[in-house]
Amino acid sequence: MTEDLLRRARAGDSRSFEMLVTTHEQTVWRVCWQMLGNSEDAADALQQTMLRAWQGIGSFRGEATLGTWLYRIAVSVCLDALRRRKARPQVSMDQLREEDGFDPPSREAGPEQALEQKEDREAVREALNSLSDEQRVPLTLFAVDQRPYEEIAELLSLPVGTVKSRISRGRMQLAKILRENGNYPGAAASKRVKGGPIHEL
Amino acid sequence: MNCEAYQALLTSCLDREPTPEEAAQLSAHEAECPECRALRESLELLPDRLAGLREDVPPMPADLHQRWTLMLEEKPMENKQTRKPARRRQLAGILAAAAALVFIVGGTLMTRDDLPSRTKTNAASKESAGVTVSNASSYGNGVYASSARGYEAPAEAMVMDDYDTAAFYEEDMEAEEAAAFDADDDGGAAEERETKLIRNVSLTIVSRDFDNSLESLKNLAEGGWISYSSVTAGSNGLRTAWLTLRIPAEAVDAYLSGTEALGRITRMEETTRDVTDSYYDTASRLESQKALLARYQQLVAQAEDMSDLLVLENAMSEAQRQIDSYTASLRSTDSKVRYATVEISLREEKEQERLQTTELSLGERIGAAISVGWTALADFLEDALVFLVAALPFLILAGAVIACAVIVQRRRKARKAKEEKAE
Repeated sequence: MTEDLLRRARAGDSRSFEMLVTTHEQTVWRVCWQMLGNSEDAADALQQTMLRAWQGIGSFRGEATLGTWLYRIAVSVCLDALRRRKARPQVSMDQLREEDGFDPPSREAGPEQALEQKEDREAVREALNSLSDEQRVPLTLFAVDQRPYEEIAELLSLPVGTVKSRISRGRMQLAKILRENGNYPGAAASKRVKGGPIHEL
Repeated sequence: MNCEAYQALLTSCLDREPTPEEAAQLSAHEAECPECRALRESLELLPDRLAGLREDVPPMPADLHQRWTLMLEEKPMENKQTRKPARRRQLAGILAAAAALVFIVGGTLMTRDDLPSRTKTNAASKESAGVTVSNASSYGNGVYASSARGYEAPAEAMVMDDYDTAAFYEEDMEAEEAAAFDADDDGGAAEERETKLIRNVSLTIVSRDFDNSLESLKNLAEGGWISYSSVTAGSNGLRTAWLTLRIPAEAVDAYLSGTEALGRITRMEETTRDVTDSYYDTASRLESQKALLARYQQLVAQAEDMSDLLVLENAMSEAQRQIDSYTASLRSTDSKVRYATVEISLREEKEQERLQTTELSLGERIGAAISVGWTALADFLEDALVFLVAALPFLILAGAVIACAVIVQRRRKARKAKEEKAE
């Protein structure tokens, strides 16, 4: 059935294309949001991803799975977006997130524990966002999205060694920032020093 | 081992298993440095904490699915687009090239007559020619339009004719009444009517023997007169004469047949207007005004006081004015009826031009076409170069303005960036 849909999508039937890619929509959304950090940019990137996929469906050879293919396109779209963001400095990622006004409800445990979890995630996210894109992107793909080194290397068109070292350095940097902010799992959020992220020890 | 070395080693071990030796070094430092021990703990917890961020992603906006599916329908896949900025830049490039092309071609074509041309016309020859014809190729049907300056006088006369007719027609209703009124006084007027025809002939003659032909055209107009004559020289050196002749109506046909011997007639138009009705309407109005005037004159003789006299005086001068105008109109119509208007443009042609009408082989035509096209291109490029040189001051000015704008824009951007940084 997938073959059939693919054939029709290649022939220009947008409905078939929609049926094919909708199963991967959430994955694309996640990676876009993880990489760009706010809903507005993520939505743009998702649209752009779908458009590129649609226009390039003819070149999809079926060597990778459709999911992997879409994921690659999404990462490439997000990298473009980050490059543009760098080219014209705007508001920082943290600001964007605050404007986003997102407050994810926790699905597990009691309210107190949920609050603690939420606080911790925010602290980690904040620390992660204070890293450079160079470290943050591979680290996000590796540790948040759980992608193997080889795939990240391919996605970012970098040698595997470079990807590994960037991830390691990113992890170390992140651990230092979190230590410095006095934040570790279980520590009360009030201990955290509010203010700008600390880059150096 | 100091903290720095420890952290470097630990970092390098993050993506692989440490060797037993390295493991020993690390734990040795940890034993004596609680700070680094805590860092390592933090690092070990990190993967789980980062993985927890997966839960952190907000749900997809509700309308996003609809948004992108709609977008696909708007953008068919054939339309393979590269990245947007690149496309825009490409588009801008194309637009700029098109604008430059329009500027050069348009500018050259519009100014080629004003800018110095290859053939220089000096003032003296201009005067002798009377009028310079701006474009040598506009013979034939375009002659009147292109030579408006040279033809002003006869054109005006023609307009006058039209006014007269219009006036005649406008007064048709009144004229009918007047005629009916007149019929009582003078019943036999209708029988004396004679058909009044105004004839206009316009023709173009092409001649190789320009001077003799022109002389003959003038001489042939015996019994008539020349009301307008001018000779202009085209940029190719060939002359054209414009003649307006008034020829006795009965002699027009003889005159026209006489012109046939002078060259090829390439164009001939003839109009004949029947003005009989309006002529006799005017004539009868004239009569009635004259009768009115005579009646007033009788009344003046009988007038008793000053106010009657004044009223009569006014009425009489109005009647006299009408009589004058009708008389003039009839006289002008009489003249036009008696003398037909013949407009002639006599065009000089060269010997070769005549030869060109003989049949050419396809090869010759192609050869000629190539040379024509090539010459035209060469001429155009030459004109374009002259134009660009002429436009140079403007281009420099425009360039300076654009450069200023760009500099200002950049500075503003830089200042903005600085301000943002400062914030």
